[in-house]
Amino acid sequence: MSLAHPLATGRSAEEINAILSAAKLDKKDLLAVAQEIAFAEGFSGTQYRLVELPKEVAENIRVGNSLVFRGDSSDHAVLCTEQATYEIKEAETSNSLLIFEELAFPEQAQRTSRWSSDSSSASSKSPDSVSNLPIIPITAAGDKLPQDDDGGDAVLRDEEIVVRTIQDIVHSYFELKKITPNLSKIRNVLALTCYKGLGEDDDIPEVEFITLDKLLELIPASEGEITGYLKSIRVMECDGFLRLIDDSYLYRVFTLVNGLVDENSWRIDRIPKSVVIRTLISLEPPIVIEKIFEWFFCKNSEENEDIYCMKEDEICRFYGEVLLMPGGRFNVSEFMKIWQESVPEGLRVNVKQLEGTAVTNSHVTPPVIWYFPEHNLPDVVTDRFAVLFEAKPKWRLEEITPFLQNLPSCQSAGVLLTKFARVNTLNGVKYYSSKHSK
Amino acid sequence: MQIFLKYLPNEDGVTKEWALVEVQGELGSREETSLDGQFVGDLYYNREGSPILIIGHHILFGNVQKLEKPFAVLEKVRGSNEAKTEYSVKAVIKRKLCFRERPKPIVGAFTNSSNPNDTEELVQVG
Repeated sequence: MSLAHPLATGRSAEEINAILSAAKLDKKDLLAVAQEIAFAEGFSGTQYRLVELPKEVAENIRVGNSLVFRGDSSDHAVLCTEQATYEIKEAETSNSLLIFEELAFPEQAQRTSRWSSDSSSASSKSPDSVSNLPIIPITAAGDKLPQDDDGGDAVLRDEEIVVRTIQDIVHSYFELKKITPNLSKIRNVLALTCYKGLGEDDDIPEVEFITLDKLLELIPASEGEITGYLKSIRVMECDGFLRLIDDSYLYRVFTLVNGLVDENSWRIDRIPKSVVIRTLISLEPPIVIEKIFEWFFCKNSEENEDIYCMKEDEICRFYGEVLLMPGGRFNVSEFMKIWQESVPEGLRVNVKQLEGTAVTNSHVTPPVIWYFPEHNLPDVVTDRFAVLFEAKPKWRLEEITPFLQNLPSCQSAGVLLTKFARVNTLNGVKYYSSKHSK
Repeated sequence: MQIFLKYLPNEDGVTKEWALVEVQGELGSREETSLDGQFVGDLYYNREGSPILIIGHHILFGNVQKLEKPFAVLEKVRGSNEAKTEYSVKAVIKRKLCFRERPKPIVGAFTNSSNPNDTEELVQVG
């Protein structure tokens, strides 16, 4: 609330006019707003903090979406919207930033383009004062200010002065910078309670189970990014707990589903989900079958919600991972043959399906392929490049790019390669290698 | 750890807009008195809409700036649970009055000033 009366500081209009004239300011040359600045009652200097808002965060505030600070003692705190994560950095300034709850800007003054001019209408500060008479301010030189031509007072009156209070003074503010959060920790957090099938949970202590709420406490990232990642690493929610699924268990259940497809001679794009769940209900929990349909199948019919189609890339990738995971290097042509034979009939394997999860080296004879998942690589950029170039000295752009995504640095693969790798051209093909290699 | 930011919008659901004034150096009192309710200075706009701030014997000329990125004003609030800190978004700030130049002295004394809360108490250190 702005207070017109009384002036918080108890100054009189005369004093204020004296200052104005000493400063050689004429009321005629000023917009019709005079604001007296004072510290607020109970001013502490520590009440508020300023956070600079990128456009999309400001928009989140405008529409009332929730914002949350996240991070544990070992992490830097981050600020999260529903979908994005921002690093918080404090910026210092040698200037003082005075925070006002209310302050009139020039256009508010222009709305009332003139000062109140009727000297008789205004209420005075005290009934017996002489302020209804024109106040003639004393300037430094002692001469009179000229009267305003259009009949207004040349001087300020009490009621024309509003008090604005400084709520706080700060010398720093927080800057927000959008980052790609480090989500790889999630896998480790959930690894202890990996789901391996019915009756396998009995050995896991109750306290190890993780809920989404608990995970949000542990991981400094937005809820949208966290749930997106959970989906990408195939986590299911079971009795309120988040469960990674053991790969060999998942493979076993998938082969059961695929066995049914074979048995019934269903086409790979005409699989009735309800029949699969009904048939396998005595063997495996329906939630696992539901999840298998969510991850490896897609709806294929507008008129029948129950008909699903196999997702070729997802399934081939999963089979490839299962084959490579036990370890060791495989002859590429032999591997491709075994891989093709292993996948459900009708699906075609392609080495591109293993991007970010396996590496092929064609510079050796015979060419080899091995399991090399992106999520096992270090998060520090220099360390990651060291591991990549140790695994294979020369990389084509499309080979290395999948291993440079999802880094917390938020820089594109191209920028990272320019900074941390050397480029050579061999037979017209560009190869990236370590900066320190010969 | 999670700290949620609470909103305190106006009754009409709109986030309040506050304002910022940026001045060089520090605002403080020469005497070690509390700043509670202390008078600082007078703010005017000239016909061009540029702000003029008079603090003590100094005059400052500034300009109105629209912030490229707005500020959120956060207030730390102690929750009912002692250990729990919460923040609330009190307002956003989209514009500021910026006084970057060094203050100019006003020549001449304020001979008629008799207020004990005298303007001279507050000084600006550039």
